[in-house]
Formats: sequence, C-alpha cells, structure tokens
Amino acid sequence: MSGPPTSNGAGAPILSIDRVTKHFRGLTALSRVSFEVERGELLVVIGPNGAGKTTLFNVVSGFARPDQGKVELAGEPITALAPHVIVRRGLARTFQIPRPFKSLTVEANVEMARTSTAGAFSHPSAAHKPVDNVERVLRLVQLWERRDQGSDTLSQGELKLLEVARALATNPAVVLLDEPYAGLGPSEMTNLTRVILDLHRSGLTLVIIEHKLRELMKLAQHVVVLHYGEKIADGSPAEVSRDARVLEAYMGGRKAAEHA
Amino acid sequence: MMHRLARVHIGLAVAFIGLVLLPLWISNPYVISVLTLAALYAIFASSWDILSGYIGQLNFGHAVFFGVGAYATGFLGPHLHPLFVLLAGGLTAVGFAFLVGVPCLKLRGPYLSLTTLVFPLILERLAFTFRDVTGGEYGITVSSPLSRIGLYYASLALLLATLTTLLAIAESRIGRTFRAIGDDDQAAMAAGINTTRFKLGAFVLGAAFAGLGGVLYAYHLRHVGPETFSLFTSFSIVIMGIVGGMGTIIGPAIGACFLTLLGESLREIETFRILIYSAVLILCVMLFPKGLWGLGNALRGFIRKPVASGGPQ
Repeated sequence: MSGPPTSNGAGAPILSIDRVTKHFRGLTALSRVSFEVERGELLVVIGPNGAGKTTLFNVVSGFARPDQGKVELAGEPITALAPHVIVRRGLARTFQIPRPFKSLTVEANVEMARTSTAGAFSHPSAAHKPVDNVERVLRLVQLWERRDQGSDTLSQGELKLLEVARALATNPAVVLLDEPYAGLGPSEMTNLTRVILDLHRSGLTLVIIEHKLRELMKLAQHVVVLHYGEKIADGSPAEVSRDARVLEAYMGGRKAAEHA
Repeated sequence: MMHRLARVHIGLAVAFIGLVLLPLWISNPYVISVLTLAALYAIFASSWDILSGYIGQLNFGHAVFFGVGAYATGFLGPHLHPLFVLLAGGLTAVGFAFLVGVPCLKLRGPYLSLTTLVFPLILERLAFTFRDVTGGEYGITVSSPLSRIGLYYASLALLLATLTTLLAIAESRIGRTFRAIGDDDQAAMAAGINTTRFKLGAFVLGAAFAGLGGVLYAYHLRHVGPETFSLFTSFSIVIMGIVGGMGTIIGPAIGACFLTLLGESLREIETFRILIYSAVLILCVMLFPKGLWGLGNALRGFIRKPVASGGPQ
C-alpha cells in the first residue's frame, strides 16, 4: 500500500483528530474528541452503543460535517471535504451495515472503487499508482472465486468482506473499518482477522471500531474509548483495561460480562 | 453482456427497418402522424431514463428540456436554417440542465425529485407572463420545413441516434457508475465517485436529446404553447418510463410507443378514455413491475427454460 505524499517526516501522525464536536438536535454525539493515529498503527475504537463511534468515522471520512474541530490527514486539513475527495487523498472507510452496489458483480464493485480513485476521473495530484489491485484485494478477502457473481448473491458475512475489499481497492494509506466483525460467522471471523493482520503487517494504518475486544486486543497497539461522545481513555490495551473510567463505564452493562 | 447488447441492437435494426419501410404500405397521413408522435415521446422517455432509471433520481420535470427546445424552435424557426434550429434546441436544453442541475443535484432522494417538479411550473408561468414574446396561452405557430413524411423520417433518425448513443453510454464504465450511484450513493462516494458530477452529467445528457426532440416536436405540432410545461406532460414521461421498464433505455421508448398508440386508439371513445388509460396503467404496474421490457425478458426466459439447460441468466 502506498501512502499519500510523504512530505512529513517519520513520526508525524498520519491522522490527527483535533477537538471534534458534533451535535444532533441538542444531542451531543461527539464532544471535543482529540487523538492521533501514527503511521502503520492498528488503533481500535471501543465504547458502548451510542458512544459516537460511527459519528466519529462519518466526520473523519467527510460524511458528516463537524460543528467544531479539525481533521488532518498526513498534515493536510481534510475537515468537511467531500467524501470522494477524502478517499482520493488516501483515507477509505467501510460501513457497519454493508452497502454493496447490488446491481453489479463482486468484481465490478471493487473495480468501481479502483477506477474512480485511480482512473481518468481521479485528482491528478493524488499519489495513487494505477496498479491493478482488484485481483490482489479480492484474493485477500477470499472472494476472487466469486468475482463474476452478482453482489446480491453474497451472504451478509461475505458482503462485509466485500466492503473491506472495496475500501482497499481505493489504494488507501488509512482505512477505517466500522464493526467489521459484526454479523460474521466463525470462519469468516478467522478470515477477517487474517486479513487485518496481513494489512497491518504491510504497513497500512488501520482504525477499527469493534465491540469484540478479544479478537482484536491481541493485535491492537492503541485503543481509544468513547463514552457518550467523550473520549474517556486513550492508550495501549493494557493501560486502557486498567483505566478506572473505562471500568466504570463498562461495569454493570452487558459489555462487562462480555469482556470479563 | 456483449451478447445481450448485440441482441438489443439486432432487435433495434429490425424494428427500424420495419418502420422505415412502413410508409410504402400505409400512407394514411393520420397513422404516420401518430407514429411520429410516438417516436418523439420515445425520445423524451429514453432520454429521461438515463438520470431517472439508472441513477434512480426520478425527474418529474423532464418537460422543461423538450419544452425549451420547442420554444427555441418557435423563436428561432423563422430566422434560422432548420439544422441550426435543431442545434439551438439542444443547446438551450443543455443550458437549462446546468441552470437547474447545479443547484439541485446536490440534493438527494426525494428532495431532488420534488425540486424537478417545480421548474416546469415556473416556465409555464413565465410563458403566460411574457405573452408579448411567447404568445401567452395561444403560444407560437411554427411552420415545419419538412413534409409529414419527412418529419416522420427525421424523428425516426433522431430516435435511433438517441437510443444507440444512450445505450452505448449505459453499457460503458460511465453507465456502470450511474448504476452504482443508483444502488447506493453513499457507498459510491465512499468508493471515490464524485456523485454530483455524474448526476449532472446524466441530467445534461438526457436534456440534450430531449431538447433536440423538442425541436421536432414543435415542427410536428406546428405550434408550441405553455401546455408543454404542464404537469400532465411531465408525468406522462414518468409513466411511460415506468410502464416500459426503467433503467433499460429501450424500455421507456417501448412504453412511450405503447401509451401513445393506446391513447390514440381510445380517442374515439373519448368519455372512457382516461378511465381505460388509467386502468391499463395500474394493471401494467401491478402485473409487470419491471415494465414491458422486463415482461419481454421474462417471457424469453420462460420460453427458453424448458429447451436450453442454462435457465435465465
């Protein structure tokens, strides 16, 4: 995976979220959330339902406009740019509930993402190499054999993997995965963990929203905990699991039993 | 996919050869006139389909585009060579597509469709208001540079050009992008597609062919008036598209021919015309949700299934 222009020296965060606030009709979905993602890092965002995790992804990927705050990708401001512009700058995302192009084949779904970010329509300054990575990406998620099938024939779990493949086909430097494990069967989970590990080893920066901590905590280097729109913890998995506020937020809830 | 497209082209060729030779047997000017009207509506409906059927943004104001083409004919017809009038009609429609499209196409879903509803009403009002130029409710009389039969062939030629061009675009990577946006425009954005630009492109493309058709429409009616911008006109196009089969280009053209011929054949029983017409529409939508084109495909699959082993698709 090639990244966007490396004008910044090593050590500068590839993604920086600075005091991002977002309200929905009086409800505060995000309140002055700040954190940084290092190049090549695997960061997991956790927090109970309604904590603002998906809203955070929407703001970062341009699908929602923040009321306050800034987002920078490789030192360049991307706050409130259009989603397609942000993708072409090298930040791709998946959706929690898969959103396939249902009238297209599996391969055409991925090809669409590749051509629109690397083809004639893309921004000339984008650093994407026009590599034909559709096959590589589809093999990675084990959907290559099914490339000619309509995407409407895939199972829910396969559609989640197609989401990942489509995001990867844009040749991103940073990928945001929104609950990639939700709705997967056991073998698909193993498959996804292998994919994530593979991508992590290749140097791709990954930001993952996930409830299933046990699957990912072994891989994560950095955990951010959101609770009612506020960041209540930020650090290594070990630090976060000892954090008093995190324990409090999870204590008594369904999550406490899940992660005990 | 190529096989399917090749079959469509063969079907088109056969149909057009038939229509070109038809006047050798049927010279009744009324029949030729009805067929010309059907061809013109087919141009409007198939050009409507590229935004509405592929991207799924129902345009309730397509009459704006052929209406301004028709008015351009009224204004410029007496002063310019017909070919320049044709060009002017297309360009006027394209201009309006940008004018309407740039502010509207950022809207999504029902908001865009509701906005498209408003523009023909504005133009209808304007036509009434500036009566010195537009002739108000009487409109403008247009003299046709072509004979009835000449106009029939001109309409057929434009219909063929419209269908082949739009089909070629619909089957290209651009058409596939239109479909992807129609499937899920948020996913399309996430895949790096500039959805607003593609929507504007589809809007302008459809407007161009509608504007060209609008010129022939004015020549055919020998008149252009504000009724072109009426809700009924715009809704007729939507209904033709739905009955024919959206997202197929050919389907809406078939729907337009079917409904134009149906409407004309019911002319003699004027009292029940609207009733029968409406009943046919409701039956079509209920029985063939994918339109006449979808019905045709289903029948083909049904006939083939017992013989060939493959089954449909």
